[in-house]
Amino acid sequence: MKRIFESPDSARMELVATPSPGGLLLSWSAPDGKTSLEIQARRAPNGDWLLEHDGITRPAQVSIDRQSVWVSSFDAGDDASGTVRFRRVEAKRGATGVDLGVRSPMTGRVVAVHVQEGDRVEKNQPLVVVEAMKMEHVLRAPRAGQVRKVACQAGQLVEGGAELVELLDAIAVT
Amino acid sequence: MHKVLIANRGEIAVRIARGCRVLGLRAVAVYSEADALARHVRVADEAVCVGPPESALSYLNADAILAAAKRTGADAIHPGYGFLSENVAFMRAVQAAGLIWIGPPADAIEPIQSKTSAKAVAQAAGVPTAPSAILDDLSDAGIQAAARLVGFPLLVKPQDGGGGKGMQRVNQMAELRSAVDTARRIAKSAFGSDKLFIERYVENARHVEVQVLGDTHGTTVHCFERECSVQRRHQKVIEESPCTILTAAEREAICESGRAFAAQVGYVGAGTVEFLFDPQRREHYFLEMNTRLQVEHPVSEAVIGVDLVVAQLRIARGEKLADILAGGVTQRGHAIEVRVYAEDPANGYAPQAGTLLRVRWSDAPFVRVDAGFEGGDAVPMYYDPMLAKIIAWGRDREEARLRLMAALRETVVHGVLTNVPMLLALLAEPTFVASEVHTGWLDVRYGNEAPGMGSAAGTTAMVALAVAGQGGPLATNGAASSAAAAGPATTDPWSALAGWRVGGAA
Repeated sequence: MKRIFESPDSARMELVATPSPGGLLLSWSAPDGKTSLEIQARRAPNGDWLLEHDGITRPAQVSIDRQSVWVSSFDAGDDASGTVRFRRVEAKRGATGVDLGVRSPMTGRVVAVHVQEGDRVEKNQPLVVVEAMKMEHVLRAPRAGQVRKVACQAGQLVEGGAELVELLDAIAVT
Repeated sequence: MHKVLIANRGEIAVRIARGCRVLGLRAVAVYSEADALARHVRVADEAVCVGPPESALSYLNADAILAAAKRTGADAIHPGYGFLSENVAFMRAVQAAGLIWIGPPADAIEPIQSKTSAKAVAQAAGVPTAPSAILDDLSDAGIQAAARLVGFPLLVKPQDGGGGKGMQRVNQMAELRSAVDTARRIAKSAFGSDKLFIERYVENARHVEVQVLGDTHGTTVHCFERECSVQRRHQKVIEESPCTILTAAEREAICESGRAFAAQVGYVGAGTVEFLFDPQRREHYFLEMNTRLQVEHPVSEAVIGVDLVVAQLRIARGEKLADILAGGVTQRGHAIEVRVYAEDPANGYAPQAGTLLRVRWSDAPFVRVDAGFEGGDAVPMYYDPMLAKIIAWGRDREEARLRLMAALRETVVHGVLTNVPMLLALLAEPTFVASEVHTGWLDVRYGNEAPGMGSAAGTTAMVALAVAGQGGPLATNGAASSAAAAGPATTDPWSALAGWRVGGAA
């Protein structure tokens, strides 16, 4: 199993995973071959991962849901939380390469839809209002553009991360 | 009293059930349809469904709750905080049904439910209130005389207004005339009345509140103070005890004010009298009384060593404070509490609902976690998104602060975003470390920004992320595997690793 892995700071690493007793052997190397890393990953009975490199073991916790992988470890620094959410980015992208979907930040109920398909919107124009726990959250246009699709209606229950409005880039419109 | 119905949910319902268990009382939970599997149901002896998910139809449904008490044979009701806890009509209904209300009698709290009548009660009890004056005489001489009485800075407020509309801050005499004229104009058009009053504005105010207990034999005591000055839009974020800036004499004065206020109304049970403390003038002013157990009661419990829920239950069954608090109440060390919310601070603090894929609360020494949720639990969208309170005790404030930060660093919550990174950043703020905060500090310092939400993934996290791609957790973690199976039909989520991005710290 070989994969190219891109970290948040865009450093690309090649990863080879081989099953080994109690877990996986992960071999990492940079494309230039200069840096490489071998890690033995074992899974504890409670679901934690123990990652061993060069005789030193570090623990980590991992969970997966539809939209995200959640990872906790202690190496974020002393004053920072060790939990990071990695979110799946839909492949749908506009001419400028940005995500076209305007997504609900939370699970809740759509209480108002302010735009229709085809509408041209200005940056920060209110698109949809979602309510949860008595708090209303106004979803605004992240940039100027044209509404390609409205994927929700007032009264509808929506999940966190669900695409509510699809917005064409201003560049694609003009 | 042998069986207590707990008319609440989440961490406080769990907390109250534990208090019942100490005294050998059976605990009855109520739940909405959204909470059928919730933790507060799992820790109770018995549970009854009281309605659909919406609070108005379940946790606020007085008839359904009284019916649940009847069905289970409960002879007492503990309301917790929020929901029906300060609802006088419900208290009377409970008493009319022949049940014990674990809280103050309705007659005691009715006179203090409005701010103006509560202020009159405070004055009758000799409790200081912020100086104020009604502006009858609107001549220059008249308003200046009133302002000299109140002192600067002051606020000019419409008598019949609300929501801060028309309110003018005045720093010195020269600004008074124009502020009064502006306030009159706005009050006239907004409320149809141009009657005004002025009130002392407390600069850099500290929120100091006094825990009180009253028994049914006429005894009222205070259990010292808490400080809750770190607030975001009037919501408490960090609470601690004791308040570090008070001298022994100031502490004695403010605690005695709290006790005197409670005694004045014939208070029974646990309550909290809130004050503003003016750090320049070194004076305290009465704000209001909360006639219930407070969210932040554990910091008092940690410092005074008294189980306040057990005290409530023993008071309700007629025991004397002299027995409940035998040996007296003293403060020892320092405790700090933070509230862990399912919310996204980087996204306007939007509340988060969802399934908690994995949860790990700290079990470190000197740390207490009051949690309403465990791993696998659902966080419904219908209620307050508080997941847990984390409280740390130390011999001094710094020791408590370091223990609390350590507890937060080992806190794991997967499945919903939380404010944990923000709490860590706040606890490390030099202003907080030096205890130089005031009630407006957090809003001024951060506005709607989210401190501490930019932490990047470390090496271990990156490796763990890669491990996740190997199917390990997908194959063995029950909750996660079913969620993943319902997801997009892809056998390998890592076929395009660039298709994942760091979605903020969680």
